[in-house]
Amino acid sequence: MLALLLGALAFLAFTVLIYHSDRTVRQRFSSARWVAPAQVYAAPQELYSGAPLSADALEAALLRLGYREREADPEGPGEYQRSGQGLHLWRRAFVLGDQREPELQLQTRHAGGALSTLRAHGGGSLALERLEPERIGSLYPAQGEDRELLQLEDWPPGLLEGLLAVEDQRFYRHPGVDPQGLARAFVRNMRAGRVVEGGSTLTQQLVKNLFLSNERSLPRKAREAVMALLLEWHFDKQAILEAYGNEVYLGQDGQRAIHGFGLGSRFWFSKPLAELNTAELALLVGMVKGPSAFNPVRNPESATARRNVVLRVWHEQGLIDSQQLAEAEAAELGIVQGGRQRHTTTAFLDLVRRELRRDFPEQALTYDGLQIHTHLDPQLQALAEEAVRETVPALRERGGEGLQAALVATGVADGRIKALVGSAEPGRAGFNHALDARRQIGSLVKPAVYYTALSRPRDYTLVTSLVDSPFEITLPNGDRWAPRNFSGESHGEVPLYQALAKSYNQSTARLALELGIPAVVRTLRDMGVQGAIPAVPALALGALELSPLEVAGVYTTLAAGGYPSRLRAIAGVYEADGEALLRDELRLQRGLDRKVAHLVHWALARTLIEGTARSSRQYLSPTRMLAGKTGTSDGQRDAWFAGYGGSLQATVWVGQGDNRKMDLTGASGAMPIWARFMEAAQAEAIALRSPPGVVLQTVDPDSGLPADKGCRTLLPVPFVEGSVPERRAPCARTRSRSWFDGLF
Amino acid sequence: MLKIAALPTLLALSLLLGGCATSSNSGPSWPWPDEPSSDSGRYGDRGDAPPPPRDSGPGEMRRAEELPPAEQMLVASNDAGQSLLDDARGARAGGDAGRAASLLERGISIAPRDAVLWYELAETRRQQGRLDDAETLALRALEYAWEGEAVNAYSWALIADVREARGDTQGAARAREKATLRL
Repeated sequence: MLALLLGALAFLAFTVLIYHSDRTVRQRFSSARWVAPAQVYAAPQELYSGAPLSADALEAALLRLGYREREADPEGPGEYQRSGQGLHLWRRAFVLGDQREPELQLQTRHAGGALSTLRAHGGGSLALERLEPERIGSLYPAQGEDRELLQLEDWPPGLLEGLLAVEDQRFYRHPGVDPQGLARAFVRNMRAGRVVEGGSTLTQQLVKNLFLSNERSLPRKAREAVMALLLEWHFDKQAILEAYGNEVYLGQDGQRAIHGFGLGSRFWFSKPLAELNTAELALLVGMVKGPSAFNPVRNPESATARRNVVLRVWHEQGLIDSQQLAEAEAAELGIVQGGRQRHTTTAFLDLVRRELRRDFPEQALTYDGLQIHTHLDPQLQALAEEAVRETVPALRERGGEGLQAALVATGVADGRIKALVGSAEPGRAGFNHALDARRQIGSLVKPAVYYTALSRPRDYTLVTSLVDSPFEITLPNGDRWAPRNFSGESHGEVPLYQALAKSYNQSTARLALELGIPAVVRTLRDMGVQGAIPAVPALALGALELSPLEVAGVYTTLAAGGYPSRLRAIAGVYEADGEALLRDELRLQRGLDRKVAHLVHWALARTLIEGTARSSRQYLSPTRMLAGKTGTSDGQRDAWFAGYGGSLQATVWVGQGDNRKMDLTGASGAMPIWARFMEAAQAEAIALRSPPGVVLQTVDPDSGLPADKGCRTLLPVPFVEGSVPERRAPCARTRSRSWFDGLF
Repeated sequence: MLKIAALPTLLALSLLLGGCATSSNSGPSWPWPDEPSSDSGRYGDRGDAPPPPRDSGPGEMRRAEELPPAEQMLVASNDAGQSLLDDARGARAGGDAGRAASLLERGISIAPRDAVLWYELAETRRQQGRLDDAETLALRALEYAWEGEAVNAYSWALIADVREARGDTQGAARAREKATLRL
């Protein structure tokens, strides 16, 4: 009776076990919700005749992509040969969103820092090609699995046979568990007196990794066996192999677990799985047994031994011949770990993640294997980080140890975010100052005041005389406001453009009060500022808190001649199969008057010539004419510089993490980083061709009035048509309309 | 024609004047050359500077309605841009305006100051019925075009069409006025 009862109970327990296991196996396996973090890519390097790309820069890009240099002609994709100012490269095939690019042999010549000719190897010239985009990271969860999903047909020749030869020779003949293999393992283990062979099938290994804990107990072993049988019952061998190839654990990178052969290959060898040679493939297969014990970096000897065991098994099984065995055994381990990447993209990835969270649930980002293409320019990113790293030590000597920095670089034409540095140590994760440090922008606000004035061309031109002298007003709350200049001195009558270029506070504050603060607020809105703007007189001198990213938006609008285009990091989001979920597009709005924006450009260009940033010339080559503005917040807590050329805008912020005072200004703290970056990036000069409705008039700088040869110095100044002063300068020979006007 | 002829002279003249105007400061003076010849580097889109204004001679004026197909008149400023432009026109003709737009945006990222690419993107948006976008993009094209260039006429013609479609007859007439092409 008791036996019957016990039997019934055991049967019940077994049924429950089967039922539960079956549910787990079917639901979790068939839903195929792999933890497949979204992979994030930089913008692909474009190759065309005239591209601003030196041979060195192209080679650096290839190395970041894991290409290998050869002495002779490349023999396969992922290889290149450098000869002087030319490269012969075998580009890999790749998929970018819904575009498929075939593998291709290219020949380049470079001259004067640019790509001069692009040809197909042994063929004619090509108009345009591009490299595969560089993978800059993945949006894996803070603690978790990272992988690149692979399909079985993507496995390179040799991997499947090689894996089965070592891990599960009877894979195609057993139903999930292999009693024969188990018996053999048992005998061997008994003989050895310890566990030398697991006897687990691939299916059992997969079940263990997918569904079970790491504990070693009999009940767990039983459950593993049951689930393996069920898995094979429900799914075919191919599906199980594919899952195995994506699940297998191959290493650890801090908090990030490296799963699957695809990412494994990239992580250890910095190249795609398809490009691994026999020895490298054997190492990867060997590491399946224990990525920690056989870690080729920490334990190279045991890794080599393990690899050679695998190679000998392959040889015994007839997968490789004796010569291949000998060559592979003699080969180096071939480990290349991410050391080629000279840029770090923590801060940029942070921005990408935030942009994506607006449109996608977190789950989609970590599970669905999305492909995310961004506008990041790896070369510019490296230069931006270099400029920060090079400059920060000197700044810390004056500004204190905790000094932080941020840089945001954008394309002027399209608002694409091309580089982003979030801290003074770009590699380190932490507070992202580029996005999250909302600080007083100081004089960076002034272009909005002057834009407001210049948009009334009957009242104000660039040479209108402003008064820079002390004054005091009583605010509605009874406080007194008496702005002072940074130098402590007042400058009397100054031409309007100089008040901006030299960033005088008293004249700017007087001007803003004349214009009315609400008008300045409206201009800031037109420039793209979205948050709260305090409509108080101190606004005119920078009582406005913005992040470096927001400031970059304002200055990109200004640089683009008044078209605000939302700054964007993401170019497109694609499903693993290439279907587009989101495609970035260029959208412009009319924000500012083009003519007035042009006048402000001109004044901001004077900032670098005679204004607060004239010391920038020591960093910039003479022809690199750029425009920009310094900013220093109250009590010198924040140093800013924002500026641009014809196609590149950059905003730099420097300050203490805890908002302490420091002995730095926009010119001494932020400008050096900015100027170093713009020079290294070979930023194109600002385009200052007058738009329709703007005329150039030479003036006498002293009086600000139209001048001619009679004057000692002449300054050509742009005016909105119809606003050129009638009166001639005292030094002019002609008192009436000058001969110069006749040209218009 | 006077304006076109005067432009290079003016440029040279103001350069000259700029050269004299250095006594008050040591820095370079306004205006520097629009397209520094020696300095088109990392972001120097060496290819996409607008061509110097052509001496168009005593050609006839074309009204907007009579403009020849853009394919015959408008070329991109470099080969890379042109190959994308060809592909984009092909895609548009095949009904895939989305693809045409992304090809043109790729072109703009290569040559951000190529007026023809901006105009063609505007035309693509117009065909998609996105009139506001089309007008803004066409205005942008005008900023990068030199006076007298064919792309000017096409951009104004597009703006005129868009305004008309929105019922802005006056605005359309003003734009139409400028949509003239010298052949």
